[in-house]
Amino acid sequence: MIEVDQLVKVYAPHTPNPVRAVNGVSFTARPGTVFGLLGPNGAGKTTTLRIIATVLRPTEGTARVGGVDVRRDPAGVRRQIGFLSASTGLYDRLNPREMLAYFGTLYGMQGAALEARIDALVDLFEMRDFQDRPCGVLSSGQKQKTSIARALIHDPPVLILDEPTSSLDVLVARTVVERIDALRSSRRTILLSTHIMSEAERLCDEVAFLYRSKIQQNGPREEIKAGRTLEDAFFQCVDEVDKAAGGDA
Amino acid sequence: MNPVLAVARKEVIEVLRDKRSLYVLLLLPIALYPVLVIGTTFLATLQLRKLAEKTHPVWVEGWDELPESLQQTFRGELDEAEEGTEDDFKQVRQLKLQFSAPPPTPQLPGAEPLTPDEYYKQALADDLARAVVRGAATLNHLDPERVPQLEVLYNGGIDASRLTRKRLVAVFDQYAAGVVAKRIDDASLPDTTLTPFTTKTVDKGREGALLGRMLGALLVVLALTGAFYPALDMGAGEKERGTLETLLLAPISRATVAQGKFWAVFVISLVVALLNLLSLGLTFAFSAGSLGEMNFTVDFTALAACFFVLVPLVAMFSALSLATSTYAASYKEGQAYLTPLMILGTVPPLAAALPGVQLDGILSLTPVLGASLLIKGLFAGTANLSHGVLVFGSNVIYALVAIRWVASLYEREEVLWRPAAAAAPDLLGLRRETPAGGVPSMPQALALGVVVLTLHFFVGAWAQRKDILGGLAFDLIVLVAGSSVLYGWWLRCDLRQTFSWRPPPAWGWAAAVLLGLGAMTINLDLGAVQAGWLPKPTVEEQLALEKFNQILSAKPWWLLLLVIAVLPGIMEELCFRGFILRGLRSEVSPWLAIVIAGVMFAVVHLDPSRLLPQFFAGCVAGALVVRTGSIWPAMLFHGIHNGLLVGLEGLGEDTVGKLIDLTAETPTPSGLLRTIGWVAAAVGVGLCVALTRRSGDAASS
Repeated sequence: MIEVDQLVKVYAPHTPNPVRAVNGVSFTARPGTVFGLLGPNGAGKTTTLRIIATVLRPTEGTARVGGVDVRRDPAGVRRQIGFLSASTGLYDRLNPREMLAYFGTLYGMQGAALEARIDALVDLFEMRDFQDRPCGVLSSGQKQKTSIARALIHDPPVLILDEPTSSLDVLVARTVVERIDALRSSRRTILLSTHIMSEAERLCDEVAFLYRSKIQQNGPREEIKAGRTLEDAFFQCVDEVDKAAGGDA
Repeated sequence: MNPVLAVARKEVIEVLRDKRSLYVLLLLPIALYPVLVIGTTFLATLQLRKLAEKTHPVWVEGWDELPESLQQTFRGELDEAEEGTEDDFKQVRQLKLQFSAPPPTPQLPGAEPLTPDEYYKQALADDLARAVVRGAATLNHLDPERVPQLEVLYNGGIDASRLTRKRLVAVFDQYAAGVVAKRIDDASLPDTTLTPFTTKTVDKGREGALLGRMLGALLVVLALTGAFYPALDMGAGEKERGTLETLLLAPISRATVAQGKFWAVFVISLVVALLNLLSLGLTFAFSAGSLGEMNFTVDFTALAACFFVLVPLVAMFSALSLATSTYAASYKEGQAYLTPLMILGTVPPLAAALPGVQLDGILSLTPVLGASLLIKGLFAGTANLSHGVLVFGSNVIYALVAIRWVASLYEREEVLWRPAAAAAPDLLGLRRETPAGGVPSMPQALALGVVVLTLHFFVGAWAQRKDILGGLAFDLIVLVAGSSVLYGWWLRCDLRQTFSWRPPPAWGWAAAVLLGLGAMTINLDLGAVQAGWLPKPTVEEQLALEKFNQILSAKPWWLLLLVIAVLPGIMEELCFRGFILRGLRSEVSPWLAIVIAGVMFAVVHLDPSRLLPQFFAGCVAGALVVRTGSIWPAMLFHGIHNGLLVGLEGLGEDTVGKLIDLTAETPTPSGLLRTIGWVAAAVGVGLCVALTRRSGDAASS
């Protein structure tokens, strides 16, 4: 479970030009569902996810993962999440197996249990052929498989995916979407941020539209769609917000 | 596995798998020494062999008229070299010379005939002759009443010509010795007539002192530079590759990440230093024969002790390098920051290698320099335990502070997540942007310090050489204050805020007067304390100082007061306690800013003998600005401090004698003056503390 409560993030707060990237964002993602955070680039999706993953500290508000507060126990939060984004790179000079072993060790795993988990992930993501090759020479698809396996090494109850297909070609992107779909389970919470509406349509049970640093609409996918496509629903939401902002001005 | 160990292990593996790092860190330096030493020795031998194979023409004026016996002497073999003669004597002995009379001077039609000097100079330059001997005919008839002089002309820019000169001089010396021996024999004098006694010198110092001097510098430089590449790779490199976020998602603290990386840099640096040392030692060991008389005996006890000295030093530099690299957003930016750090780090070891620089209490605590001097002392056998403890202890503390700094950087979002594409921090202070709050940034403050130092060194010193007081006034008004105000205006700073230009509380004036008197007195004592650490001034320096004082004493007192007290009080304060202190306070605590500004103030004066007093006066002035919120009391303080010193000069010797002990090597205050000074200082500090008003409060009010 992820609970986000009135989250605010201001970059460069003590300079003449502070940036309010996230402005009072609240939502809840429940176990057994895929929650989609949808919005254009620059809306604040990545900042929100990075705060939940404790990579960034919130300026105001808070977030809890499995009841653990990101401010009070960031390491406790990180133990429960697997995080994948376009900026979570791989070590070019390690091979996928070493990569998984390294992160497994950092999660406190060791010995036969770690080896068994690595083997299971290697099989699950069909990595046998390239498991001993340095990550630096892998194809983008092989790298993405390795990254997902790295995020799942400790079998986390919460999976946070930030634009997982943004830098992939269509074929690899389709495979990744299929993998994410396969990762659903009754006890796992998946938080997915994307600006690709077709992905959200396929994967998400609940969605939130993040625009201009705020959640503009939030609820079950079908409720939000209200008979339209998700893309149409999003555009209508954006138009209404822009009109309101213009009116205010 | 312990997470720190896991991070360190992975970092070491990554560095070892990088071919570039292996090449730069290990293979290059290890291969470099043998190639350099053996290669240069081989080239030198080859060159000398070539010289020995050739015949070198020597022109001797009147050669054909010289009797055969004298010609034979010129061509003759040299005796075996005695101990202590020059290293290349063997080559000189092997040199084949061909003697002849100089060919006739060529006469070009219509041109002035060349003088002999011009002719020989041209011949030596054109390689027609290696050397020209003039006055050889005088050797035919040596008169015991006269000392004739032979002249050997040669071309110092040509190796063969220089060696030929050496050989000729050796030949003549040998001939002269024969003549002397014959004269002594003819006069039936004993052999001891010209050699009443001989002197034998024996070096009883520890073997390997010379090696220590070289090795100390080299070892420290190697230890420092070994951190460069791994630190760059693990800090800026990790950011550029986008793996930092992946790592920070693991459930380990950021301090753990920082520690793991630190240990990896530390271990690699240490191994690199040791491998370099090993390669260097083996190279010297295998090529000892070609290194002549130099003593390269290695004291292994000293070597082992060096290792312990190096450990905290390497730790400190590893942490500093990692912190610097972490601060950078990209590899390129990291290189730009680390290179100056490395250059700066190599200065103290080289300074320590200079003859005469020895370890003492204060130098023991100086980062890098202390360790370099201790290593030098270990090889020379002059190091003692107390210095060792001071160096080791201080380096451990510096290392811990540096490690703490690395860990703190890993907690700062603006450091970790600044994108490489974003503008790098304005470390040179050159970006013209309206500063936050209208006051300069810390880099801009530091940049002004560098500018003022440079202007003062090149332009100010030149102006003062032209006219002492006029040059000083120009230095203070234009270079020090002018550049500060101009820079502030160019940056569009709020000048009133930047220079703390506002009225102080009334007690601020009183505190300034009291502290001015107190600081002047204390500074006399500090000057004496510092003089105890520094070498005594040379006779030349004392004469220069006396001359300087004479020039000043001829000037009217009001002019001295204006240029030495009033102008520095206003102009230097505008720069150091105005722009620089305010800029430093944008990023560090007021007290740290006062200390940094004090150091800059002392350094800019370029007078090592007054370093401590200048620093102290600078800190007091800084504290006055922070406490009163205004620069005006600092100006008054500075003026009074300097003015009292000028005033003392103007008093009669009797009066000065009552206030200052002039019999001491460095003037110190008398008991009376010291009491007055300390009481004034105590009351001044009391006023500041009791009635304080921080400038921040003042600004907000």
